[in-house]
Amino acid sequence: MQAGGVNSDFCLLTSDFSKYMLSFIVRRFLSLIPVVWGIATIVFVLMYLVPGDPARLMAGQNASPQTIEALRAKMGLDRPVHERYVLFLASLARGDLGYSYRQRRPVSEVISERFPATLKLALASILIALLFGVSAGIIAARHHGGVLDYGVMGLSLLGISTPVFWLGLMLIVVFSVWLGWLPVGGYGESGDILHLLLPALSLSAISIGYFARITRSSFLEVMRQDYILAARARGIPESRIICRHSLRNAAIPLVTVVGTNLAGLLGGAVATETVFAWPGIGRAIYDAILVRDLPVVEGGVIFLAFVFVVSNLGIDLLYAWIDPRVRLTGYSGTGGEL
Amino acid sequence: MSRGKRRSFTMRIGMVLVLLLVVSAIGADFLAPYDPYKVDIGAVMLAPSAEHPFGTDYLGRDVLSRVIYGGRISLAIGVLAVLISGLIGTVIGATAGFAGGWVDEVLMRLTDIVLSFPTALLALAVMAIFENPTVGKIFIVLGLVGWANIARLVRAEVMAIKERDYITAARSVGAGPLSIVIRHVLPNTLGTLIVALTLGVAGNILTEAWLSFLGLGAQPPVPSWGAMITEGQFFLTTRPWVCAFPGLAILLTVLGFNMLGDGLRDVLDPRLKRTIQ
Repeated sequence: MQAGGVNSDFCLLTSDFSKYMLSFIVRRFLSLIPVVWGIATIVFVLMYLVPGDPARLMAGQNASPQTIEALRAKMGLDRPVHERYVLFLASLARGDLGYSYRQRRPVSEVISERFPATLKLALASILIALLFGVSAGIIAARHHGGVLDYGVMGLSLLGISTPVFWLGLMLIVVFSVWLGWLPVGGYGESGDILHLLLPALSLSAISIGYFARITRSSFLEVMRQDYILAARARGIPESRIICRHSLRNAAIPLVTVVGTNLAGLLGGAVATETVFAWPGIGRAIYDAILVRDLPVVEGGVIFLAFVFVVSNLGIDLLYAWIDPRVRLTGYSGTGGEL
Repeated sequence: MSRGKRRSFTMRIGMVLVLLLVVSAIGADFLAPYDPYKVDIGAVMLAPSAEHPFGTDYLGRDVLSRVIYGGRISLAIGVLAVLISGLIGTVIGATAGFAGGWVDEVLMRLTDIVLSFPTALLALAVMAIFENPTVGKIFIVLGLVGWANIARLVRAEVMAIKERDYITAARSVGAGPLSIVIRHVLPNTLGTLIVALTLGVAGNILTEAWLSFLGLGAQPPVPSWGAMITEGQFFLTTRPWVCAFPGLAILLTVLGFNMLGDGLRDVLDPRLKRTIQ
């Protein structure tokens, strides 16, 4: 009887648990809608305010008035604003980001062609930042108050304050021009490691700084906990305490910071890809800025914003999975600065 | 002991860097050795020397003078933009925190949405629309996109403060809500606000440099640090100093504001953890 009671309690607990998790996921997905809608609306308002006739720009210089008129009708430009707004949202929902004036093809095509390079650069930067940032943070925490701590914290502040595009240029001067070790830029055959190294390194500078700081402070927090003291008392070696007991708990705040940093990373990628002639979305946006090919600029920004929002959703779910407390209180994601 | 020492050390360096910028920005007319716009075809691309400590650019303009005048632009944009975001954020945060209920709910939902925007990209999307982006447009755009985290901070402070006894006391003697907020609540949020604004200046300067580098900010020949790097990058391999010095100026300035903000946080708001987030 008693055993049955305990068992049913346990079942209740687990079913509550999955119910909470489910409602958390649903809530988080729903919170995605106003953000994406908000970004889309802002971009629509901007595009509507642009002087100049998109149909004329698209038809080219030698088009006849009839062609332009037909194009206007086809693009829905002759309709009232609210209808155009609905049309815009509907086509966006289908993944249609407009048509490039210059490249004469859908923006979505440009983006899907360029996305792999950006993804590769962003992932490489995050990996580098995690590797250096987390190790630096642990070193600083282990030598709390010592010279190494000062050094790491000073360097991380320096990293946070670095204009990434300028760092990229300086890395080119040192490693490509003076030392001649690495290529000045470009993608090579398929974005190999030699071409990837400098852009990824310069893009990761800011994240390294943030990761080091957050790792250090959460590590110091964790090391003060009783269970670490208990582990020490049991004679567990220090390296094992760091790897098994501290790192796991210190990782929780780190996960959020990775998410907030993504905004800076994607923004920084626009400049970094420009500096290194890296054929990603950022470079496409820059090239489009130069020739005022606005659909590519705005489509690219909407897409990057979407990537940011979706990754943060993924990170929130990951976070809820690591830290059960979040599921109950309903944590919401935050934005990041460049 | 050592922590306290480091705090004041960080803040002191930050203060020196910021003061250096402020002084050189205000006194640019006296400090700059040359006219930043003066083209000298006879002195193109000179390496740093006693005559031109930072060298000259492709039009023979003195890089040091341009860096000094560039500080004016960066400082003006950084500070003005942060004042706009500070004003919007404070009004929204204080209203939400003090009113509570559905007002709070609506305003904080809005803030959450803006917070989950990648704001720099949003600023890029807006700046790209203008056919001639200028310095004036940048600070307005940056000011309009950067208020959300300030609103959240102010709201949290106001919520905590409004339960204190002295607010109850003010209310009981018949003070209206607006007068309570302005005279009693807001002055107590000042510490948090100053820290957020100082760090905001750093972020804005970095974003302005980034936008100007992409050609979406100050246009040549205006001596903005970001635009100077754009112009210099074409000669990067042979004349790296044209890029190096403006970038160094950005780095030191942003570092200064970050250190100052970080140090101020420890002094003004010891409850917060020592991280820039």
